[in-house]
Amino acid sequence: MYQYLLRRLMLLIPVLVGVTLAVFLLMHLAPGDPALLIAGQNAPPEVYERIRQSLGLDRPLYEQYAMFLGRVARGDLGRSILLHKRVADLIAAALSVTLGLALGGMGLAYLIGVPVGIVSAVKTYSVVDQASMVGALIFVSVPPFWLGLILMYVFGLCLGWFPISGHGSLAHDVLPALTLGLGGAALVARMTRSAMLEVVRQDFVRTARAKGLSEQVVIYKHALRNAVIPIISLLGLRLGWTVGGAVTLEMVFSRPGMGRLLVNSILARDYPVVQGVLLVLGLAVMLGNLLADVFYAVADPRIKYR
Amino acid sequence: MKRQEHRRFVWCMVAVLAVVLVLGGCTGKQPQSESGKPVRDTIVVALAREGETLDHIKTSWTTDAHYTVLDRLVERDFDLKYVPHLAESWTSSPDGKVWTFKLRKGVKFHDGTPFNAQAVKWFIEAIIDPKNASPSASDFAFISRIETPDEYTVEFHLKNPYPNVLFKLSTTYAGIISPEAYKKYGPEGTKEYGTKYMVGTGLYKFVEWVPGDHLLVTANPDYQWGSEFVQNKGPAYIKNINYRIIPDAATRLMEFEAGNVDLLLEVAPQDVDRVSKMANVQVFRKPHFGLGYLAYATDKKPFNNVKVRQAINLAIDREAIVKSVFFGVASPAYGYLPPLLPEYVEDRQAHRYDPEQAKKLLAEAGYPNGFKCNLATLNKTEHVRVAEAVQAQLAKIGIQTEITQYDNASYAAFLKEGKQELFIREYSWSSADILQWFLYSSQFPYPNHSRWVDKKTDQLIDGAEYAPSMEARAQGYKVLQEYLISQAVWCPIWFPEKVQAVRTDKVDNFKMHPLYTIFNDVRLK
Repeated sequence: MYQYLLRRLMLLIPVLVGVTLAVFLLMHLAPGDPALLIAGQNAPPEVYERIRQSLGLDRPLYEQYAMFLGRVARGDLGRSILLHKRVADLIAAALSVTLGLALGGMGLAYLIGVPVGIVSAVKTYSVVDQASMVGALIFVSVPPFWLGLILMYVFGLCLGWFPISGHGSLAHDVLPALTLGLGGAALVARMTRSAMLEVVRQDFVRTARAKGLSEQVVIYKHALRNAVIPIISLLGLRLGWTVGGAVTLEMVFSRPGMGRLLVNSILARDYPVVQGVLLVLGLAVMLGNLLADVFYAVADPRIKYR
Repeated sequence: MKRQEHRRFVWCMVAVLAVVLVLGGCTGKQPQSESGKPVRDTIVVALAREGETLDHIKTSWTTDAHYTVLDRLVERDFDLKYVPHLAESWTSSPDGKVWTFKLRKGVKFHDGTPFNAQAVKWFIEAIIDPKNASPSASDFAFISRIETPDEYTVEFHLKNPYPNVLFKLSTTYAGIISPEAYKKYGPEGTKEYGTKYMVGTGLYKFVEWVPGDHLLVTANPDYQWGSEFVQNKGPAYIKNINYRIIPDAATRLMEFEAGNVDLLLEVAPQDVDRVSKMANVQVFRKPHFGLGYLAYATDKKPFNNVKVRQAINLAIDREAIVKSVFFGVASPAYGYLPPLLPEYVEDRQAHRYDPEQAKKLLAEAGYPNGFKCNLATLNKTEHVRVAEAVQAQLAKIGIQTEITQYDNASYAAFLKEGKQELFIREYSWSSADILQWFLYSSQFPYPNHSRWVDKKTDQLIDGAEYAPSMEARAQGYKVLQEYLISQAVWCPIWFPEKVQAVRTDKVDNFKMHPLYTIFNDVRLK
C-alpha cells in the first residue's frame, strides 16, 4: 500500500510537468500579451517593447519555460507580472477562500446526496423516488451562477438571513456552499441511486434479508458498502473541479478564490499566475483521485494495492 | 418505532422551513436594522473592476481610489472648469512655451514627506523617463524640461506651444506620488508600491487592498487643501471608504438594494429603470466622456473606398441601437468627440439613416450586391449586442458580416497585427487629443487601428494640438473633424451615459461629478 502510494506520488511529477508544458504552450499560442495590456492603447511601440523586455517576454519560449521549471524546482512560483506579488502568496490567499467553500459544498453534497440516493433506490418508482430524481435533474441542469443568484435573492435580499456576497465569516460561506452543495448533491444522489440499484438486486442482498437481518443493516451495511465505489470516484473527480471550477460562483458571490484568480490572470495574460494556479489545480485533481483510490481500499477490503 | 420518530422529525423540519419561507414572504423588503447600532463611519462603494496595480506610473488603468488618495496640481470643478489645487496659480509665457505653477504651501504627503517643487519635478520626470516604460509617458511628452526656481515654483519648459497643459495635469495619471515612498517601495525598492503602499497628499490615505475583494482608505486628518469648488476644505466627514470589488452587475444591484452598498459608481443601462424605482435611492445621469463607434481598416479593400465608408454610415440606424441595446441610456452619436467638449462638431446629414442612399453609394463604389467581411468586437455584453444590431442593419444593404468576439488581450493583439476589417470600439477620454491618438499617422498600426494614414489629417492635428490658444485649438479640431467626417473615417454610433446611484437613507450631500467621485462634502446619515 505504502509503496503504491509512493509510486503514485512520484508519478505526479511527470504529469505535472506535462500539465505545465501544455499550459505554457497554450498561453503563448493565444494572441495578446501582458505588455500590451500594461502599456495600454496609447503607449508608443518603444514603450511596449521596453515593457516586454522587462518582463522577459522577448526571450525564446524554451528559455522562458526552462526558467519557469527551474524556479518551480526550487519551490518558487515566481512573481505576478501585474500585481508584483509572489504567486505563492496569491495562491495561498485564494486557496484559503476556496477551500472552505469547496469542502463545505462537497460535505453538503454528500450529506444530502447519499441519503436521497439511498431512499430513491430503496423505494424505486415511488413518489419519493420520482420527486427526488426530478429534483436532482433540476439541480444538475441549473447553472450554478443562476442558482446562486436565486439563493442570494431569496435568502440574502428578501429574507436577510445571510450576507448576499463577499467572504470573511461562516455566514458568508452559507449561500455559496449551498449553491455548490445542491448541484453536487443532485449528482451524488443520481450516482448513489444507480449504484445502489445494481447492488440491491444481487443475490447476497437477498441472502442477507433471508438471514433475517433488519432492513437498515441490509441497506447500510451490506448494500451501501458494495455500492460505494462509484460514489467515491465522484468525490475524487469533484474535488479538483470544486477547487478550480467554481469560477462563476466566485464571480457572482464576489469571492477572491482560485477560480477568479485563474480567470483574471488568463484575461490579463499574467503567465506566472496562470501557471502557478494550474499547477495547484492539477495537483488537486490528482490528489483527489489518489484520495479516492485510498478510500476504495478502506471501503472495500477486496481491493488491494501493490 | 425509532424509524417512525426519525421520519416525523424530518417532516417537522421540512414543514417548519416551508412555513418560515411562506410567512417570511419575498416582498423585496430590506433587512431590518438593529436598534442601537453603532454609528457608521464607513461608506461602501461598489467597484466593478479593480486596477492591476495602484502604481499609476506603471499602468494605464486607474480606479476611483487614485482620485481620492492622490491630488493633482489642477482640478476640474463640476462644470469642468480648471481650478487650482496643489498649484495655487499658473501663468504661461507669451510664446506659450513656458508654464509656471506656484505651489500651495504647507501640504505634506501621507508619509510626512513635504510636498514641494522637487516632488512635482521628480514625479513628472519619473513618468517621462524611458527607463520606467510608463504608459502615460506620451501624455507628458510635450515637456522638454522641468525647472524649480524655488521650493514652491515649478516651470514646465515645452518643446512647442501646447495649450492643453492644464488638462494633462488634471487627469488621474497626474496624481502626485510621494517621492520618498516610491523610492522606498517602488521598483527600485521593495516593489510593494501599488499593492501594499500608495502614498499621495489626497483626502484619503491608503490602508489596504485585497485584490478581488476590497480596497480600504481612511480620512487624512491633516488635509486642509480642498479645492475651491468643495465647501469642506478640511478632512473628509466620512472616516473610511470601503471600495468593494463586486464584478457581477446583478450582485452589485442586490447588495445596493439590501443597503450593504451605499454608492453605485456604474449602473448598467438595463438596470437604470430598476434602480430608479428603488425606495430611498437617488439616480444621477450625465453624458459620459466617450464614444462607441464602428471602425474599419481604411487601408483595405473595400474600406479604402470613401463611398463604401459613407454607405456604412448611412446604413446604421443609431436611434434604434440606442433604444434596443442601451434602453435609451445613451444617445445617438453624430460626431467623433463627446458633445461636452468645446471642440465638438456634429453632422446629422452625414450620419442619417438612409439605407436607399447607402445602396446607391455601394453600387457606385462597384459593390451593387454588397460584400462579405468580418465584424470583430470585444466580448463585452453591450458591444456584442451592438455588433449584432450592426450585422442586421448592414445585411439590409447587402453587406454580410460574420461576428468574432475577443477578450481584451486578444482584441488588442488582433488590432495590433492589423487583421481587422469591420470592428466595434469604444473610448473614454475627456480631451480632443483622442483623435490624435487614434488617427495620427505615427500611431499606425496601433493604436491607429483604423489604419488611417493621411497627410492632411496629420497637418490638421498638428495645427490644432500646437495651436497658440485653447480657442485656436478648438477651432483646429473642429476643422479636423469636418474633414474626417467628409472622409467617413469612422462610423460613430453611440455616446454612452454615466449613471450613478446613491442611497439617500444612508448618504447625504452626494453630488455627481462628470469625471470623478468627490467625497469632501459627503456625510453619512
